[in-house]
Amino acid sequence: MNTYRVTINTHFRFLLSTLLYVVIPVIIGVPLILYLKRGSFDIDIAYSIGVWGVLLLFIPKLLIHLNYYFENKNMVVYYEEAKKQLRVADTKRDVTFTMQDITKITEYKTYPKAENRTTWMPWDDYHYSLVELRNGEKFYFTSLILPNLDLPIDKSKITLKKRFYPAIW
Amino acid sequence: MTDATKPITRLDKFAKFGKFASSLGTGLSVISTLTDVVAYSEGSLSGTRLAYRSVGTFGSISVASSFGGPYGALVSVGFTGLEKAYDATEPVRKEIVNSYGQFKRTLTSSWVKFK
Repeated sequence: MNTYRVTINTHFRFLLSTLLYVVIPVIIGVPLILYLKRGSFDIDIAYSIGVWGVLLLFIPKLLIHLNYYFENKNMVVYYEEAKKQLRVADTKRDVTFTMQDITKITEYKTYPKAENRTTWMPWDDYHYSLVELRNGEKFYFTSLILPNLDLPIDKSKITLKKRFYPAIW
Repeated sequence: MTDATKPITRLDKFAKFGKFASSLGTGLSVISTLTDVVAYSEGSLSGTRLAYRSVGTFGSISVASSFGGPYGALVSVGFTGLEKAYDATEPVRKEIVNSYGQFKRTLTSSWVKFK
């Protein structure tokens, strides 16, 4: 049986990708743009532009990370391959179901992620799936808990929806 | 299948570089706009030009994200090219405006004299 939950490693990956794809590009970009556009480098201007640049790119990513985290923070998903069975437990419910109980899966992804292209925005790797069951139960499986949901169900039950910013509203 | 998820594909060096390059492109665009905001606050850039450049920057990022990098680059080049063309044709445009003013003044004074 495989078990999935949001772990400290999930947040570590978030911080690492922020460092690699937000902070370092800004550190490289600020002096480059200042020299190109102003012809000089002023440390005070560089500092304020750098801080604002990181915040503008980081805050939307942080918000979607927290949005997903609060959706899945207490959720534990167990998958039993032999029975093709999922058990989803959180503070409010503990539901066990098979693949036949799933009526619909809607995947929400950014355009680059959905089309398997290079990502552009810091939050482009974030995506989630809404799984709906026969009995009306609904589950949001975000990329924090199940990074690449791939259940053995009929593909006609899966719908892909593209969003610029795939937060759970 | 023994897993509820596909294995996460580890990016190779080339893919990592591509992802870093696109992030750098997005970062440069944001920094460029912030530099324009600083220039605007110092009075060396007009509000109209700041708005035009901001629309160009965020338009190109949105297009790159929605349709692909080359389309975003095309939008960016289009906006920059139009701004450069506008600046380059400034003497000609001034000349046309002056000539038109001169023509109008001449016509008006002739008309007054004729009356």
